[in-house]
Amino acid sequence: MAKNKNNKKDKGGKATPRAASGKARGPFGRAVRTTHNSAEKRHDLVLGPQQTPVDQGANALVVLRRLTLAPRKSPQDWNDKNPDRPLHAWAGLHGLGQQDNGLAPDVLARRTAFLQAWRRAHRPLPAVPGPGSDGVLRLQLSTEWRIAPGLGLRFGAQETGASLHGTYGWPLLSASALKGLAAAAASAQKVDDDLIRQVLGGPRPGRKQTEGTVGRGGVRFLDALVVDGLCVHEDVITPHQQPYYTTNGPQARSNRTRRLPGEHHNPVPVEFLSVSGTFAVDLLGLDPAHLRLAASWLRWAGDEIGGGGRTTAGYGYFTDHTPAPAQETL
Amino acid sequence: MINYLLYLYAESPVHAGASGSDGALDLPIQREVATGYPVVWGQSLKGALRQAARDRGLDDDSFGSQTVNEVFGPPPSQGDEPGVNPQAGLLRVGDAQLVALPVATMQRTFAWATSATALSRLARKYRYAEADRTLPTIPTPNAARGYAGDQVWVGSEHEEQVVGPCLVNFESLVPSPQAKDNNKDESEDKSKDEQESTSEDKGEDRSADPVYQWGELLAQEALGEREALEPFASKLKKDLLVVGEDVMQLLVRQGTEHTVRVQLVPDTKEVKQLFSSEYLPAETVLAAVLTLREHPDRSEEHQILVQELLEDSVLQIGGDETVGKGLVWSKLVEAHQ
Repeated sequence: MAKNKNNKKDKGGKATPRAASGKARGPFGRAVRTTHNSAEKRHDLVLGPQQTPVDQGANALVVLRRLTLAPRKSPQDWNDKNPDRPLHAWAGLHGLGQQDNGLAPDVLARRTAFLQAWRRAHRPLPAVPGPGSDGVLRLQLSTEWRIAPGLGLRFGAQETGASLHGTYGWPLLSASALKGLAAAAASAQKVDDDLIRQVLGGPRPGRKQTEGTVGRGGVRFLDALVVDGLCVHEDVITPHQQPYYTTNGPQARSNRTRRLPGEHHNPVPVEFLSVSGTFAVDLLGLDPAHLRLAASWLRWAGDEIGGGGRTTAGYGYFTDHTPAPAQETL
Repeated sequence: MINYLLYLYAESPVHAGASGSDGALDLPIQREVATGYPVVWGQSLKGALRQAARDRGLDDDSFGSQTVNEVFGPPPSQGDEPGVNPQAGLLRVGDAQLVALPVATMQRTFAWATSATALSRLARKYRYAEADRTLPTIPTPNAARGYAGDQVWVGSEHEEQVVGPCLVNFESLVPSPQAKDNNKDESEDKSKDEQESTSEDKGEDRSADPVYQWGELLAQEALGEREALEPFASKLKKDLLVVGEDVMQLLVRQGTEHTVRVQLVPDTKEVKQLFSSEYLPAETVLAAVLTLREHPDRSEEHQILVQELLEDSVLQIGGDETVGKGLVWSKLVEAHQ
């Protein structure tokens, strides 16, 4: 409270806050507004009557999935085609709320402590020296360029989605995506079916359920957060023949007339978010050999397949940058 | 008979799955019929505890299968007739009910929401378990409003906080000296406020606030003094919000995590098998009552087994374990006979 009052005085002692340039649609408009930032030529999100700037303390599960903005009478620099641009701008500026957030190191430290407690509590493993021998294997996978996971998750007003942690709203490589990647790598490398089943569970998709093929996989994949070098990018893809792409192909609705591609079609920019940085990928399991196999499949997938969307445009590739001692001691 | 209060604190999302689907949601979580609150049924929890005992090798090395079978009951395949258990286990496992649910906010990333219903049930568990505690009074906010301990959440009449899908106006049960000017709040503690108005120490004047007291109790009993949980324990003291029942109803429905999963055809990447599942988000706090009945001569061993398994420990409950779901920190509060 006191802090807000001081802030107001700092802005040149103005009695009334700056006029809002826009506000969130619906009831959220009572709490979330935007003000015009003329220096940066953008509109910033602000909270409440004190106009506190929305910073990394905000949760992307609200900003990206629950808010949509409406401009007030044609303010400066407002993008009418995509009025929600300030939401993406917030995401880029504050790393989806994770960048400079004091909670992030605590969350990552708690995960490490959890894995240590898990290791202590579980059955002693056969003594095989090397990574994963204590039932926990941590990889640090760094994006080669950028990765765009969860593009199809259109929970919010935007046409594109992003994979977000369900509590903190931070960028996430979900465990199911990692497991799917490992499976894709394993079958692309023509690994023996039995071995895949022991590591990832069975029956594998498309295979018949027969005796001996049913069972849980030996490796648990955990959701992965960014531990280092987090950067969230506001990217854009601009299909030049949007009517052609939307009326043809597997996603087109059958009741729409198919259009031919043509040079007279307007380019349509689509904005989306991508992430770069190092993800901490944790694997748990009782058999170190299974853990190492899963890790090797993930490494291979990082080079050859790529995760998330737009892999044909260079997104989604990653390399293993696990520090050598960290592999052994967690 | 020994009663325990078992606290579960979610490290990763928890999917204790219900049967059938719920509208567009293919795999919903277990919920109480009357209140709609998420729950982990006792039978699900008991199975998970038994599996944990097995995973840790407690049935072969340290305790032996006899002890484990006495505590949890014999495994179904044993005995002469299939489906008949010659004896019940000595451990009674209650439902793990919701204590506090994390909700996305516009400051401090998230807060924990709880309600008079959830806190009353927790108080009832303490009474049932005969845990010797003096519990704080239970705040009962109006249906669409809430109480907060920390002034950061408290605003004037038209200053509302974003709490997941809702906008909620928070009041403080014990107004701080600064907020007193803005708020036309209850003036019951006037004399006390005047005494403290000279001191700037906020902590002192928050200790009389039941919302803060509940946060403190949960931080101590549900999270405990484990080093890695310490930052979260102090966050829980500051960011526990007691909301009215209307708000809570929206939060327990819309505040859970919904995930869409697909299977891609390997060659064409065509989307197959699209399904959605629901999770209790990470950071959720649940509580259950466990009762360990007496055994003529092996009670002590049984107690050690329960403590070994659950005291300051980690567990996996619910489904989707190979994608890392259901990891929880457990904490046992022991009560007396």
